[in-house]
Amino acid sequence: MSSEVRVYLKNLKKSLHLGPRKETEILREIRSHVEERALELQEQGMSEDASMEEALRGLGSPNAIAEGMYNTHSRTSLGDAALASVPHILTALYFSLHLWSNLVWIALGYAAILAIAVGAWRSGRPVWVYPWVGYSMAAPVAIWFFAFITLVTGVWSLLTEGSLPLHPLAYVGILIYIPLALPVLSAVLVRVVRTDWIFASLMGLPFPFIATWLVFLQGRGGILAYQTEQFQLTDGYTSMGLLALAITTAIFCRIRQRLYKLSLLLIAIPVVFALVYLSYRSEAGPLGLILMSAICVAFLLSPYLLESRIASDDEWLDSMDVERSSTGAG
Amino acid sequence: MYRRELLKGSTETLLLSLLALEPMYGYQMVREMDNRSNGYFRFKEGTLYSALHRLEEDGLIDGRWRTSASGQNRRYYHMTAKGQKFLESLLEEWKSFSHAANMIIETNASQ
Repeated sequence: MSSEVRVYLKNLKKSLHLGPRKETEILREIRSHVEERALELQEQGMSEDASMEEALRGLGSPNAIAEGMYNTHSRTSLGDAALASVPHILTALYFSLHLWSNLVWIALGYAAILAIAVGAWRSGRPVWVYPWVGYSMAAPVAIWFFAFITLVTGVWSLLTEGSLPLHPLAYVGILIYIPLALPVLSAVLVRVVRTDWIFASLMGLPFPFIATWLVFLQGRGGILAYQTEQFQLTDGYTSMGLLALAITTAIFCRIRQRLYKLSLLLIAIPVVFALVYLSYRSEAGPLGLILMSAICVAFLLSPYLLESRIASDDEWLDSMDVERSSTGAG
Repeated sequence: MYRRELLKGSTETLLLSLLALEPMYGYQMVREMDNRSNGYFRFKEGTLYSALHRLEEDGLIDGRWRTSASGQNRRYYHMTAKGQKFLESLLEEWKSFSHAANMIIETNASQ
């Protein structure tokens, strides 16, 4: 494959954001077109380089092709959009029914979400899977942070007071969990970002809400000290916030244009987040709310920064070459 | 500019009409379109694929990979039953439209 074609296909792939299966199919089709056109031009007497250049020029800008393809393939069906919003609705239900105080209910709900997320992930990663994966990752991520804080405070206590606040076996568990969980969580995140960073943002929608809620809960004695009467009011607001996430997710799935999808996330979510935050801390002033919204926007945009840092994987280009040579074609 | 707008409005009809003849792959359709219209219809090739994928998403055509005798892997598009029906309704509409438009244009020209 000539270097011009490689660069063209790489640029096209970079802007497609449609998932590996669909992207490979589109790239194969475009590549086949370029080669056929170039071959025809060579038969008319053009040099190989000039013919490739002309064939690529005839196709037009890779960004324009990518935009057309994205607009065609990015819209999900009504059923899939509804499925994508289900984990938010389920969690909202947990808050409105005050089921968070019951560890059995939490375990059951989490197991169901995890099973559906893993099943859908393994069977081709449909768009609706990302919010499910987001909720599945919330528990291990939260445990990881709590474990890390426990470890740091434990080390500090050992150095200053000469004793550990928890049983030593708990620290052994933490020391095993922290390095084991991190690569698994990172691998999932990198795979999602490689498909499309905007899916990682969609996946991360509940994180600012859950993190703020956990901090709020921690300040009032932790999840085990949860009292229905005490938290009834905030549960209502959290539940409404999660329902707003469900609606935003469904609209996100139904919109075709990428810019509109992004605008929806960056406008709706920080506003909802600020309102939910206000229900936890009624004393929060406008500056505090603006700051929280800004943190939320930064969090939603962080996968974009990650995407630009992840090294480009050119294996797919090489595999196209292998596939080409195995068919014996020119 | 005017031709581009006309082409934009009739892309579906043209592509489906070609596929009604036989299954074709993208580049073959560009060539056929060019040959059959004596060069009048020249697609920006990249946009052809978006149009084909849109028709496929709507279930009007179906793309399948096939390896030719020369070893080329190509994605051939086939017309579906839904596409056939849709084309018939498009052609019906097209005939009515061109008949009505001609009545006005010809009256204008004869004056």
